[in-house]
Amino acid sequence: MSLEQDQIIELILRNRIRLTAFIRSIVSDCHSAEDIFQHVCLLALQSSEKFNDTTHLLKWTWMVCRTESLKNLHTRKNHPVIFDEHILEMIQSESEKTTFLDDPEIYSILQKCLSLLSMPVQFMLKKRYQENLTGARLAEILNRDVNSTYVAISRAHRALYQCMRKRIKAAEIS
Amino acid sequence: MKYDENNPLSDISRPSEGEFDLLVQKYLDGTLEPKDAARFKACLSDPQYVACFVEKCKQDQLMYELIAAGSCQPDDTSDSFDLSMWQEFGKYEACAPAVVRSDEPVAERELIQKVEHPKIRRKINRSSIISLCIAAAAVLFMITFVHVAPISSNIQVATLTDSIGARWADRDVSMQKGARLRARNTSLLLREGLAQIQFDNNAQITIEGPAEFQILGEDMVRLNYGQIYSIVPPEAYGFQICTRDSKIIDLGTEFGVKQDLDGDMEVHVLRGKVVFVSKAVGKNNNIDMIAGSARRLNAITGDIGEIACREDLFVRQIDSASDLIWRGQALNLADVVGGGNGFSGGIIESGIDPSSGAVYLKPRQDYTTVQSDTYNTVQNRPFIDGVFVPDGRYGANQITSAGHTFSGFPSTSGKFYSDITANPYVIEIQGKEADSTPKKKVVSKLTPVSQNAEIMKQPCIFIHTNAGITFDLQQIRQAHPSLDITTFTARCESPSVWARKAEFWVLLDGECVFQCTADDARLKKQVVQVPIRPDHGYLTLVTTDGQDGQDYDWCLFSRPEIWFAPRVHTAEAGL
Repeated sequence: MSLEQDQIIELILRNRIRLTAFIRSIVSDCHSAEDIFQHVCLLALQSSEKFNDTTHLLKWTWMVCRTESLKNLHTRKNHPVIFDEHILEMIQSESEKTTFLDDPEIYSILQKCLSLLSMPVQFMLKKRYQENLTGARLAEILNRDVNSTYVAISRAHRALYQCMRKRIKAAEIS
Repeated sequence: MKYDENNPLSDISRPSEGEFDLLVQKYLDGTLEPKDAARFKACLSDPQYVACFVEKCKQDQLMYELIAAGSCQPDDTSDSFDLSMWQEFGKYEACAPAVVRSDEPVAERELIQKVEHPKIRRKINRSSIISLCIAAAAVLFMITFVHVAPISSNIQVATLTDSIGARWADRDVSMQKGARLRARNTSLLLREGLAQIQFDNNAQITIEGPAEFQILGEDMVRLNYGQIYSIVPPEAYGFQICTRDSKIIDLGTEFGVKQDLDGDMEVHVLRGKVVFVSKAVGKNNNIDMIAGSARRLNAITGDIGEIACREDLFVRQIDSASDLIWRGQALNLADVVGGGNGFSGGIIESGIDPSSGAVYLKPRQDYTTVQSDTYNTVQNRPFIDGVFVPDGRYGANQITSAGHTFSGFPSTSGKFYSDITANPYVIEIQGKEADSTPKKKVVSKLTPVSQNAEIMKQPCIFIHTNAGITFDLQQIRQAHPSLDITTFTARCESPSVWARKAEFWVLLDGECVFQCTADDARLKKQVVQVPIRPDHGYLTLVTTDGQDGQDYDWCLFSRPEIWFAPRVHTAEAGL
């Protein structure tokens, strides 16, 4: 029994953040991760007849994400970190786990939490993610020290993480 | 890692949470310095850091998607849900310098000149249009063919001949022993273990996982990463291994290719010749490589440098039946004498009595009266056929269980002093004869046969005259069916400080192929190198006493080794 294309798309998109984050953990660059994810979607659709069920498809997708990410690394010369098989295994097994960040409401919660940050911090995060700026470039724009910029980003991340977790917990309790 | 107060990463010997955050941010930015990269990788050997890293990647991806998509707008609702966050950022903002945004207006561009081109109407005749269409169709067909048509028509070109501990990523493809493999558009990923593939033209490759490779055709493999060792018989001349930036073309040889994930690669040529072609970083290199040479390609600079050829770097042959993983190492006969399989497991302290074939856990010495004129088989040593005490006084001596004899041994005392052993020590007995004081005890202690540490540390067979030992080559072949025995090598050494004579003998199937005489003046060591043919069944090593008695004839066959070559299936033999 093979899966319908709609089922394939639905399943892959439902796991999109987990899969893309996994790809990013290997290739680090978000644009490459997007490209790889799209390519994996295409491969899944092209191979639709070979999937017995959704479990099979999901297993296949994780595996292909991994191999395509490694392939992507081959085309790049200066990737600073290449993980060995053991680390890759751990990363994959950890990525396959579901956490509160996979909650369907996470986008709206994140947006809410972001809005709680001060305007300069919001500005900094917007610059970083909208323009895909590195910490060094961001420091240059904000006329700050590189390290303190990274520290600021880390603090913002931590605060957002706490905020999202509390809100998800609160939603679960209510 | 969750951001808890009882954070397990707070140990001062490990990076702090903040430091790890910084490493992750820099990693995701692609700006990690090599020093930090090493620290980052080291952190990730700990599952707690891995969990933390994965969660951070997920959060970063969420933020990227939310903010980069432009859906993030400041929310004006005065939500006081997370007071601590406000407090934290309040502190931060209190000491952070103000951010100045550049509001300089962009100067308007001035239009210098407006150029209008007159419209020209070109006439195109019908034949030109038809030619253009045909040409376009041909180009389209060629592009489609190259991209859509499977490589080498997707035909079966090779066979998986063996594997040990192989874990393949693609479970859809049958990778059992004997599976036929097709030239394919996709790669095969060997996550771990070893696999051996034989092409239909008899070229053989051994892949060491983790490795990703692709069979491109009947004489071509692409290696994305990992290690491949190839043995290419003359009929497969021209076999190629392609990597990301290079190609290694065989000219009848054995060579190994190691491709790293970062793009660097190595080629080691163990036999014959190859041509190493590289176009990394736009630098064209075309290098002829000969046996014993190796090169390393730096993927960042495109430079190729000479490195030492490592004979043991690649697994060259495997045999799942005997669990053989062969990297070119020789079979050590000293280990065999100790009861091992020739690669490990031998107990060097054990000994074999040449007059009976009995095996003892500790070698027995000081035989002074025992004589033997029989050939004695040895139990529990499958590679050893038997042992004997050589003596030419009574004519030919039997030297194999198959009945081979040799009549060239000189007359000897017919006596021997020690068991045949891999342990080069003699028992020195004090207070036995010279000391007549009745109160003085008789003491025996083990004394090395040489004070030279070099001699003592290498494996050897200590054959104190007069003794001989025969190895069963057929048994060795049966244990390693994928290897051919080629040569026996050793070094005859007589490290005794006493000026004693002794003879060393090497025989194959009863025929003497090496002989030398040792005495204090003429021989300290001599190299033995004897080719072994496939029809040779028995190898015999013997020492005799030089006709001056067996005392102090401390004869060593140092590094007694049997060398192999991988057996490649020929077209006639099939698989």
